[in-house]
Amino acid sequence: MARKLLVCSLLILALVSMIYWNDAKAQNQVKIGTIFPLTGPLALLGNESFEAADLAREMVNERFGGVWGKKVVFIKADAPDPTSGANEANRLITHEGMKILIGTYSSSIALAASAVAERNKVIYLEVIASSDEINQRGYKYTFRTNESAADLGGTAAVFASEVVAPTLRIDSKKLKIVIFHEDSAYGTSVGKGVKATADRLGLQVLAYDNYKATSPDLSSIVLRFRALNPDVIIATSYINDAVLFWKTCKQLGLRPKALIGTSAGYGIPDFARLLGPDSEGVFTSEAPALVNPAALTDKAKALDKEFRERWMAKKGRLPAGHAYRAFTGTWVLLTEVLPKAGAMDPEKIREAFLKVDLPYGSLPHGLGVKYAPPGNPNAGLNERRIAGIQQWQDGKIVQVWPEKLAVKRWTAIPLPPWK
Amino acid sequence: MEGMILQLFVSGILLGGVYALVSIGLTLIFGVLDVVNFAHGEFLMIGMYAVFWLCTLFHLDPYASLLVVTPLLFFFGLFVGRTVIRQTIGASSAVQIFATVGVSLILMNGALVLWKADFRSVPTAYGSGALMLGPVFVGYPQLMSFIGAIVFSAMLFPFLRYTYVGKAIRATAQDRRAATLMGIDIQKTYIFTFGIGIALVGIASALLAPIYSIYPGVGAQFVLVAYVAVVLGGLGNIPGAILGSLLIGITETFSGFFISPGWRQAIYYAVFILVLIFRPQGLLGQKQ
Amino acid sequence: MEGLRRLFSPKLILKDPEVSLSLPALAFWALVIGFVRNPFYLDVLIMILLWAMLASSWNIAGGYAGMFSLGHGAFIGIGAYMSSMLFIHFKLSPWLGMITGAVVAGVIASCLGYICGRLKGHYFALATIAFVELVNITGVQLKELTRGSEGLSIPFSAGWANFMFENKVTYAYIGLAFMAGFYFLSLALERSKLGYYLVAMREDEDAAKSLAINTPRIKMVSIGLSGFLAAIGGTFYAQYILFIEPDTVLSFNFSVQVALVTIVGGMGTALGPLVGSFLLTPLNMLLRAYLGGSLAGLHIVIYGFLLIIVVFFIPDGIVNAIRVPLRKYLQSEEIG
Repeated sequence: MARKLLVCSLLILALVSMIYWNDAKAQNQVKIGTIFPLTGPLALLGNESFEAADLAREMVNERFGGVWGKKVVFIKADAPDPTSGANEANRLITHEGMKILIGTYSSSIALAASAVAERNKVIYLEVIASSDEINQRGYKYTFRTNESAADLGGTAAVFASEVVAPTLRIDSKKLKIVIFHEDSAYGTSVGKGVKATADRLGLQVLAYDNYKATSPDLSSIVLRFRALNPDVIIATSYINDAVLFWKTCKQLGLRPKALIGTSAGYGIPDFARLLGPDSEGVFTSEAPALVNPAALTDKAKALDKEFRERWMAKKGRLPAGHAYRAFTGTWVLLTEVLPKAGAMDPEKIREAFLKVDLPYGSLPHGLGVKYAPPGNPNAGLNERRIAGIQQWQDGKIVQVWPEKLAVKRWTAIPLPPWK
Repeated sequence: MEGMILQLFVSGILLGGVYALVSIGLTLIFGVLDVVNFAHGEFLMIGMYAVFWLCTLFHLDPYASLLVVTPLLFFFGLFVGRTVIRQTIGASSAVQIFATVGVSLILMNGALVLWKADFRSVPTAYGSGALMLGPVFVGYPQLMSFIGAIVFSAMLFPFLRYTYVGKAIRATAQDRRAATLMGIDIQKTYIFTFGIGIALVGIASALLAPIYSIYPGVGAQFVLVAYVAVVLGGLGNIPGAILGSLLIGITETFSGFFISPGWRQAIYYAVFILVLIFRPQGLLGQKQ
Repeated sequence: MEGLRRLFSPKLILKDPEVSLSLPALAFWALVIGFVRNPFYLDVLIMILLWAMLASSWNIAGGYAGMFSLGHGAFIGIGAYMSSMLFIHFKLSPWLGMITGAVVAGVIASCLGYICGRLKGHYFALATIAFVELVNITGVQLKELTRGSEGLSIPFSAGWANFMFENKVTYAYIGLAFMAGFYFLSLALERSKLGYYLVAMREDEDAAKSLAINTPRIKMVSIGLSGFLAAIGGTFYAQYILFIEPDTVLSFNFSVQVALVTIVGGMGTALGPLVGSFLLTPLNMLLRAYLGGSLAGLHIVIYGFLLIIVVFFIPDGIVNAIRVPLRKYLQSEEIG
């Protein structure tokens, strides 16, 4: 009994001391809050996204001595789900005094965190998440540099219609496609983008299915598609299910003429690493990466070179689409927006965002920057964003479309039979 | 069309084999200890990481690593059984559930801290290979899992039937008090059974490693299905767990094809509730 | 309800610490809220009150009726979604939507109680897990209604009718009012005939049945009430966070959290859920705040260890661990 009381009081003591435990705060720094899922199911890409943003911060500190002559420091927060996203956003804003939040990779966490930022009149910069809704709520303080779900999905459909169909000598209105996506916010929003554009272009959509990303088995889906015999499969999956899906296709004898993934699972290096030669020829609609230098300004070329080298040194591989997104979004904030703003004042920073005007090719992956002004249905979203098509060739991701960004031509339309 | 139905049936059975591997250990634990082990999937995850490290560091084939991972997980199971599970036996539902939830959180996030969130895999030459039996495709690793499930549960039978330990386990499952009166050390039996249940999970992890990517959350997807299979088949009943798993595999595959991939899992959750209401002893269990 | 009458009879208020001390405590917290300026601390307080509400609702079924549910997220989610959908599609005030959602959840909970009432202990728990997963899949697939997994954003438009406020203090007061309401309801339940029947049923169901206690019916009533209150908590959650998605609320994980708060605090006591929330909610938020940034996952490992320690050393919860010796002490004072 005494032991029980002891444990109770120890717990209470521990709790109380934690509430009052405060680390010393350093002055003379520019502090920016970051919210990413560092634990939980999205941890892998959440951590990598943070690392890419952090690399931008490091490079800005080295090259320019930071912002306004002070080093930039990130106050890092972990938000594995929307509720903690809202709580952490609130904590960073009210307790840590942050005036800028960078996040979050996940669409649903972004929606929750940015809502808190908006109510507190604090800047929220999304650098990776793709849900269209992020910029469709009429918010004044939410900005996003990267492409949206509609872009990712739509580009896949456009590629199918404008490149795959003619290469196969099929009329695009007779091209048979199936669309399937994992059923979380990410997959659903991209899947919608594919469907909307596919319908607009008149493609024949034979199936529009969804599934749980954590399914241990996708045989029934593969067999369902095999019975429909589509020309092209457009898929939205995370890495695990993407690999499982393609492996199952091989086992059950489904080989479409083209597989177009949409970012996430299909665009990261693990795809080729886990599938080996079976990854050859798969397309993915993605933020551009490792693009043709001819499409870039000189400044962008140099920045790209350094980014690639440092990412390689850090991670042992070249950066993929999501790394480019997080890096460039943060880079623009630190090198274009904040200098223009002159001070850590959300109103000034807002105006500075709206003043940024960089042509296509100014960012290392070919995008330009111009944030849509208030009143625009996508206020705060970068108008000069691009989603392109990459292809797995020889275990490496290669930008193949649009032509001006392409490094090589596409191959394997139609995909050769399984080896 | 018949070809497709046959293929669906075979794919369903193979999926059932995967579920069976996880369920066998669970039915033993649940049946004998009457403990709801929410950390079951996490033990599978630990086993898969063990397979991964053995393959990466020592270049063992995953199927060969089975010989190492199984005893490894047996001892790990004994350890957790002694420290945590023992205190939960006979305790209230709350204590049982939350003790094992705590273990689950520790294992899952411990793995995250130690090995990060990256997806590992154990590439094998036959990883996406398949046999063709007539018009039907049969994936190699899935076939191995299925055979493994049958073989290892078959091996359990002589163990449970003829050895002293096996009899002690069955006795404890049937009637604790009578078993105690017979001179069986119940506590030791419980811990030992838990160890065996986890060792079975070890076997599962070696057989499943070639199929799935390995990451801290990989076990979680199997736990709930395993519970459905176990209840469907009858607690403590190993053929029941296998039968339950096969039925779920087949139902899931057929409903994914004919109804919709999105609603697949709903079917077996609904079945689960129905079984709990109308035939709680499961298909092969004895009526209590 | 005789329970309420008994609750507020003057004799009882003075003698029973649970009632007599709660009123000044309530006044104290109301004052605290009034004085707290820091929005972060207000946020923590609101989350504490929210979790206290949710845990209290769970306690009715899980604590008092012994129906250990691991699927309460379903009822919380039904409340959250119903009031939000009615607001977004029909401009119905979330207050009315809240009552609607609570009634729907209560009815569904009663049905679940009727169907699964016969199940014991962890079988019932497993059934509730399957139930919440089913509701989750339904929520995800019925995209037109619920926006599926993309989640529902509730457009912010402050005002009492809209149950949305610029000032966090208002949320805190409402939360305090709800929490107090649930607390007194639990106390009233304890002291009512239903409450005594529930204790009997919990201790020995067969003996209770032999006393002509209609156990299936009281199970239905308890879990129905529990679901009703849980849905109210769900609406409060939705109106505060302004974003709901199936995977957060309609999940096994969320349901486990709700149960956990009560277990740590003390099942079957009115104070238990409150104590549990006051301890666990800030602990959770602080662990994540201070450790979440460094080694990803470490704070949850610590949380897991704490969980096991609590469950082993204080299996009946903190309130129960303190109550008995406290009462003995107080009684011995009286005698001496």
